[in-house]
Parts: sequence; structure tokens; C-alpha cells
Amino acid sequence: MAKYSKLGNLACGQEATVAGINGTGTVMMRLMEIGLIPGRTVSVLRRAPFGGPVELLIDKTRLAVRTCEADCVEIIAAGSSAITADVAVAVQAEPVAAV
Amino acid sequence: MSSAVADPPKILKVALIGNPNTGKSTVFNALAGMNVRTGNYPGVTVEKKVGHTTWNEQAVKLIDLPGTYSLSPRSPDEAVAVHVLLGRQDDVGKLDAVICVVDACRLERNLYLVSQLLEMEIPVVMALNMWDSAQRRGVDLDIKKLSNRLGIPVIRTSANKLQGVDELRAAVQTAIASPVPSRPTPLPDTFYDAANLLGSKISTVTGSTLPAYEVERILLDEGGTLEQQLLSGHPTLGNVLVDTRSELRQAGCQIPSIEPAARFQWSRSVFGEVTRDAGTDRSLTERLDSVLLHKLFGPLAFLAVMFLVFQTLYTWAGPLMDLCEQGQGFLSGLLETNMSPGPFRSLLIDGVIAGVGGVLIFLPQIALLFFFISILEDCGYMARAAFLVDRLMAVFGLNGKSFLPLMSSFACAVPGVMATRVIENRRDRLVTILIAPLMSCSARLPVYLLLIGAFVPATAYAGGWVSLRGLVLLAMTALGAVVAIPVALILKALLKKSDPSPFVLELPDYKTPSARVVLSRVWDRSKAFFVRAGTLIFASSILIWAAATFPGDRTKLYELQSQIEATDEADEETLAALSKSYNAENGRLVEQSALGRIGKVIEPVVKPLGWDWKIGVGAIASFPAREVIIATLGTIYSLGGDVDEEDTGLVSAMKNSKWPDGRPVYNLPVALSVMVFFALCAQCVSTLAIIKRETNSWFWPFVSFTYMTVLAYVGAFITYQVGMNFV
Repeated sequence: MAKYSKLGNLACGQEATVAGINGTGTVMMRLMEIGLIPGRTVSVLRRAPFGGPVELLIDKTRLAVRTCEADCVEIIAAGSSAITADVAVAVQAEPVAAV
Repeated sequence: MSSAVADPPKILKVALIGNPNTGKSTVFNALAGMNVRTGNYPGVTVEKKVGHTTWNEQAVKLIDLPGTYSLSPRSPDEAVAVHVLLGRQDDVGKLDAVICVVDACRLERNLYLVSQLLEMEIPVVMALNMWDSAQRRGVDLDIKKLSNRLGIPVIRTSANKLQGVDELRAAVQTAIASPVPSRPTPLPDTFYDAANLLGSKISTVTGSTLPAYEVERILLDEGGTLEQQLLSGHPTLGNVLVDTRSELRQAGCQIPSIEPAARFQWSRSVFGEVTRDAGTDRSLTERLDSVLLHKLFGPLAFLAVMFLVFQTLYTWAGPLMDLCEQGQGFLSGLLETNMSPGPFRSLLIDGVIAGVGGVLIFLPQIALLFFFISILEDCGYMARAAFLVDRLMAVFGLNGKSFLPLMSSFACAVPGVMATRVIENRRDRLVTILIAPLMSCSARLPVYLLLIGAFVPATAYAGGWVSLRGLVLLAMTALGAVVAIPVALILKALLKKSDPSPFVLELPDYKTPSARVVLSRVWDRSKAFFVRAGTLIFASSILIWAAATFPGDRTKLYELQSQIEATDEADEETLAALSKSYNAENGRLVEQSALGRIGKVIEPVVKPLGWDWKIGVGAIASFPAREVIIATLGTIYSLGGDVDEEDTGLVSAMKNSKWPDGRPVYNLPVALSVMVFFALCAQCVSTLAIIKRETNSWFWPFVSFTYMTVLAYVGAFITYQVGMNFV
């Protein structure tokens, strides 16, 4: 069984694989455009005090998003068993690059 | 050379685009020099920054586009960049080339935007910027391979050191003369086939052919701005779009998520091909952040930084402001000695010098504030500040990026409103602009100091540690900020949620701020303030001067003035007598001037606030700037124009001021009522002018003025009425 959880719940210093983005329209697109793409790795660096934004590390870039938006991102924590079928599909959906 | 004379001189148009934090502004400054103009694109709130320069005797127009991660417009504001790049923005015209500024340390991420640019079929040159710091990290890229792979020139630049800038210029000129490279196709073929088909359907219906990139955007950005713009003219195309998208989805091409997935895949493969060494992250940023963003030390460091900035601001601005004042006095004195009294001299001294001086006096503070802001921004701390305060600002319905503009507004709302440009979310930006003028700016201070000094008793509590005067001053300073909270929540609820873009904040690596970047930003902002607000405040000062001067026969006044100036200074008796009749004549003239007549008319309106017509006129006359009320009251109370908040003559004149029935006009509730009015009112033409400029509409300055005036009136009314119950 897939063990999904929300990015907003990931502990500081933990790494995870993006499984998918819940949410619609602009929010989903903007989150994907900053690199939260299914199959890619993301980690939580720290959280701002008093329940503020979470600082993420995506491809060597530090980006902060609010917890509610981080919760749109479904993740599979690193260390859980091999990539699940759903993520495998998401990864396959990425086309082979061609110029 | 004869052909050069015959040909009309062509100006090359080159646009700059790049992700946030790539040093794009630095590249722009390095290329454009000082001749930069900022304005707005018509109908939107996007800053239009244009620089004019010459490269090898070729006139060049540089257009700086807003930093962005992607060119998929979701709002009319975001659509501007796409329109400019596709040559469909009428006020810019067709571009000759685009410079894409890329952070050499983060090539992979930046390639996302590059892939979109390459699909626009315009000459592109890549400025691989911050090359110096990439080298320090050991980044090793095969530049030649990258250039071949993308089909565009790639130039390594370190714009903060002006390195690679000449090569960049040359590359742009070469690229313009070369054929446009072929488009990359990171998305699946089925998508491009469908887009081609859609493009021909659109051109059949509309009769015009759209650029391929625009058709693809219309297809990808469901409900986006470009789709709306197309459908508003041709609603029948709606079904075609719906069908095309559902066919693509059935073919396994998930719109819209296919785009970011495919582009990141493309970026990764290009990056993999050209990278010999991806370099190592410097740990300096991480080490600094472990303290500066620490749960406990982070907020403490933040408070310390803010305290330091404001402390220095007031310490340094003071002498500079005094210098401005002295210069103003010197100039007025010069005119007084060289011109005989008359309406023209009065216009120059009381209208022009006083008016322009009123603007100039704030220039040191604004320049210094932007100096600190630019340093904090350029070194990377400002993003950390936004990260730390975002939660707090969210309580008021705003976001972390609103903090800096509001903080700046405690010095002056003008730079505060200008600083809202960093807020991407249109609604948050508007709310921040509208509440910024409520923060207690330095122009309110003279008004508070005058009235508190005159009418608040010097009572001390807690063994002399706490004074009543200090408490009142503190309350007045805090009042605007407290009122701003419900105002922000109400405005937020009223404004329609136009673009739900998420709060995304990049925390760039810390770096040493570049003097060139900092100084050019200070110059840029100070110039904008001085030119735009200066012209308006200048015009309104003359208007107020005219209203206080005409109608009225001033022959006697000028005669008295000449006599005073001719009298020997030692002859104090004659001087005092002359001044007395001069002041009486001046008071009479003010009363019968247009301003005085307006004052009499509005007296019933201001009477519930406890004010007489003189205070009412002062409030109206202070429309150009709050502190003008002091000079106006001075004029009205027959003291001549030259008074300040420490003027004992004005204080005693106010204390002696009586209603016709003999009651004194001023008491504590009246003084408080005036102060509350000035805390909440929008009597500042510079602020309204800058709101007009930043929102690109007269509607928002009108809204600011209206809601603040209503608030001020109601506030003053309550203060007076409640206060009178205790007197």
C-alpha cells in the first residue's frame, strides 16, 4: 500500500519524493513550476516560528511556501519502501526529451 | 555613407528576462547605465522599466521585464511579459532580441524559462550570470556544448563586477543578425500536432495567425488570461478548446501538468549533457540561516536589524534634513534681499520654495531608507525577514512581503508604497498600498509635537519615568497601525480574489551587497519620488498659495513689508509696531481670501470636531502635506509664514484664540481631535500621487483619500465628543 503523507507534515531535515499535487489551477501549476514535480526529491529545511511558512530544498534552491500550500503536495517519505505504482506512473508520464 | 543618411535611424529593442534572484537588475543596470525611465504598462500594475543606450553607435532600447519562473500567464499582469516577448504589446512593438539572465549556479532550474523563451522564435542570448560565484563553488559547464545544444549564444557574466558585459552586447548584436534557432519541443508530439491544428482553426475564425507559442499557451493554460482574451472576441472557439484538451487528455497528454513535468525533464537532460561538475553548495548560507532563521534567535536578530535600521535612519537623516532646511532659508533670504515685496516674490518664496522645499526635506530620509532596504535586499536578508513575519502578517490578511513596505511607511508612505512592488499577489499588494498611509509617518510628528507641547499637561507618572506627553505621542504613533488592522481585513474581504497565486518565497544565497546595485536603486527611487511627487506637490503648493492670497488688495501689506525691511534693526520699537500692523493686515487678508471664505463655509462641518474655521482651513490647506498645517495656522494667526513647532508665538496665539462668545478655542479634547484627524487623514499629495503611479489608476488614490478622510473625521468626532465629557 502506498504510504502517502503531506509535505506540510514532513519533519525538518527529512527528505521525500513528490507523489502528486492536489489542488487546482494556479496553485498546482505554480507549485509544479518551482519544481515540485512527481518523482522529484524535496526536503524540509526548517519552519518559520509560530506556524509560519516551511522552507523547502528543491534542486539546491531554497524556497518557502505556506503550510496550507505545502499540504497540497503529496509525498512519500524517503526510507519507505520502493517507489509505489502511482509514482511510477507519474514518472512515466514524463515524456522523453526531444529537441 | 549616403545610405546611412537616407535610412531612418533604427533603434534596437532588447528585452531582459530571468528568474527572480538571478541578478537581472544588475545586468540591466550594467547594460543601460543611468538613463533609465520607469513607468507602467497601460491598464496593469506592472512596472515598465526602459533604458536607452548606444552600442557601437547603434541606439538601443532595453526593456526590463519582471522576474519570473515561467511564462504561463495567469493574470493580466503576468500576460504583459508574454505580450512584450511576442511583439504584441503595442507600446513596445516588435523586439529584436531577448537576453535571458540565468543563475550559473542553478542552470537546471533556470532552463525551464529558457525552454519557453526558445519556443517564441525570437533571437535569444543567454547571460550565464553570477559566474564568479559559480566558479568559487567549482561549477564546471561546457559552455560551447550548451550554446550548441540550445542554438543560442551563451555568455558568462558577473554583472556586479561588470565582467562579460561587453561580450554580452556583442553577442546580442550578432544574434540579431543571425537566423532564429529552431524551437525545442520538450512536450510530446501529440501536443504539438493538436496545437498546430488549433492554430489553424483559430486563424480561420479570427482571420489572423497567432504565434505558435501563444496558441500553445492558450491550449495549456486552461482559464488563463490569453484564453480569456481570445474567447472574449470569439466565444465560438470555446468548444474547440474544450474538445482539443479532452482529446489530448484521452491520448495520455495530461493538461496542464504535462508542461512542467516535460520541461523539467528537458532541463534535466540538457543540464546533464553540459555539466562536468555541478559544484558544491557553500555552507555559509546554511550556517547563517541556522542562526538568522532560528526559532528563537531568528526573531530576535530580526528585531535587532529593524531597530538598527530605524535608529540609523533617524540619526543620519536629521542633519541632512537640517541642511535642506538651511538651504531653503538661504534661498528665501537671497530672494528677500534682492526683490521688493510683491505678488511675484510671494509666489517664489511662499509658493515655490516652500512647496518644493516641503518635498526636498523628505528626500534624505527616502534616499537613506532605500539605501538600507537595498543593502538588506541585495545581501539576501530581506527574503528571510519576509519568511519570519509571514505568519504574523497572515493574521492581518497580508503576507510576509507586505512587512517591509509597511515598516518603511513609518518613515514616509511614499517609499513604502513604492516598496510594494515585491508583492506578486495583486490583492495583497493593493491592500498594502491602501493601508501604508495609515502608518505614522515623520510628517505627522511636527503636528503632534506642537499640539502636545501646547495642550497636554506635563504630568509624570511612575516617579518621573513615564510622562503623559510621551504616552500621548506613543498613542498617536500607534493609532494608525492599530486602525490599519480592521481596515486591511475589510479591504481584503471587499477586493475580489483575482489571482490565487500561492506565496512562494525564494531564499537566495547570502552575498556581499554590490555598491553599484545599491546606489543605482537609491538613485532610481529618489529620482522617481522627486520627479513625480515633486511636480504634483509643487503645483498644489502654488494652488494653496493662490487661494490664501487672492482675492485681496495687498498694496498695504507690501508697503508695510518694505517699511519693515527698510527699518534699522536697532529700532525695536518701530519694528514691533510695524510687525503688529503687518500681522493684523495679513490676518485680515487671509480671512477675506478664497481660503478664508472656504473656511467660513465649512465651519459648520468642522464644528462637531470642536474646531473653528481657522483649524478647518489649516486642515484643508495641509492637503499637499500634513505639516503644512503649522505654517497655515501661523499665517492665519497673523504671525507670517515662518513658524515651526517650537514657535512660542504660535503656541500662545493658539492658547489665546477665542470663540466669538469668549470661550477658548483650544482645550485638550480639541488638541486630541486635531491630532487624531491628522493621524488618520490622507493629507499628503505625494502619497496620493505615488498611489496613482503604482496602481496606474486614479481610482485607488480616490479610494485612499475617501476612506481615510471618513476615518479621520469620525475619529476626530468621537475623540472630541468623548473628551468633552471629561472636561
